[in-house]
Amino acid sequence: MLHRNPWLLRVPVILAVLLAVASFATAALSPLQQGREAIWVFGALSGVLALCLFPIQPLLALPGLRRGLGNWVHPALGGTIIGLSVAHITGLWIYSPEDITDALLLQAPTPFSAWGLSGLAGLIGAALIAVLRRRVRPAIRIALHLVLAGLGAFAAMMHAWLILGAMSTASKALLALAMLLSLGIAIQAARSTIRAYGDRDGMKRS
Amino acid sequence: MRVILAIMIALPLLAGFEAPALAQAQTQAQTQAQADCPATETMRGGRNNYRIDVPLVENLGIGWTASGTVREAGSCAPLAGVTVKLWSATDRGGERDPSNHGATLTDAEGRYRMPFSEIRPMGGQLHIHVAVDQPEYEPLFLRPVLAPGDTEGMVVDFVLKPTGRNAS
Repeated sequence: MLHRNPWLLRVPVILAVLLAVASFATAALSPLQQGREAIWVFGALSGVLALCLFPIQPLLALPGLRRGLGNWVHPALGGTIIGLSVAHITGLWIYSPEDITDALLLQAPTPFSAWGLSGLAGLIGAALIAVLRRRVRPAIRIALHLVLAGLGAFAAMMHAWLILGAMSTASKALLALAMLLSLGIAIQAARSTIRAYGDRDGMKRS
Repeated sequence: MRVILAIMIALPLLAGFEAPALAQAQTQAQTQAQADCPATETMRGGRNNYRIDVPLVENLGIGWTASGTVREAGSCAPLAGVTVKLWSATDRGGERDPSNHGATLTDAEGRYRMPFSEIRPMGGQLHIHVAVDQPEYEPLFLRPVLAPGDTEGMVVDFVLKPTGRNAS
């Protein structure tokens, strides 16, 4: 099984990191960045970077990698993604307060604003579940965390897909595909973990 | 059999007679709609990054052109001398950059024209802002989005509702 083998698992992680670097670089070096003010570039690229980290993040939660890299890596990257999302909104809000206020109040003319907002809600929900881990039963916590993070990331990806900006269509498509593959691997791993916890907690197996 | 044949011959003939009448009705409906000339409504986000004081300018760069005709609600009469304010993100910077804001006046036929340099996306869409805010008319703030084919420019016609007030 891929998700149990720490050596095999390094391959998708390395590929995801390379894709993240390439995607971020193409957005940062896009000709569209010329003429933009620093705060605009900062706000836009924070969002791009958060998106680039999506395919890496689910892999870091796999038991095989946790043992090799340390338990702190997945939560740290999760916190970074939330921080980048907040920086994305704050930076763009400083640059164009009216546009971002419209988006946050769901009054924007752009259809992708609502996707972005739901994405953030999903990611924050997933983070809260992780932070409140002691109050939630492990099997439910893992399932909820995965569902919220997965839906949040999907919504954020839709948000990016509909935006005409510095990211190329090819990099968006590749990131979306890589993210789905990573999520697939994570779901596969989570199923066996949940099953194990379910047995321990005396939950009925269906 | 004869009946079917008769219908088959009659139908196209009927259709042939019907068509001009229908076309005429449609043209009348269009003329009617034009005669009503309902006032154009402000768009969501149309006012964003608006600046009150903008100079009358010859252009905001070259290479792309926003143009259109301004008419009066109800009468449909072209409105001359209306100050049309335009702004957009361009290759010089974002929407809040003063160099991306300018105004122009409509001519005797109600037409305006504003050349821009390359329009750039801001907030994820290629769009411009077109606004009128002078005492004689209800304020109007438009945020038209460029279609994929609008590489040379776009036409933004609109209809203003008079307030009955004069410029003081």
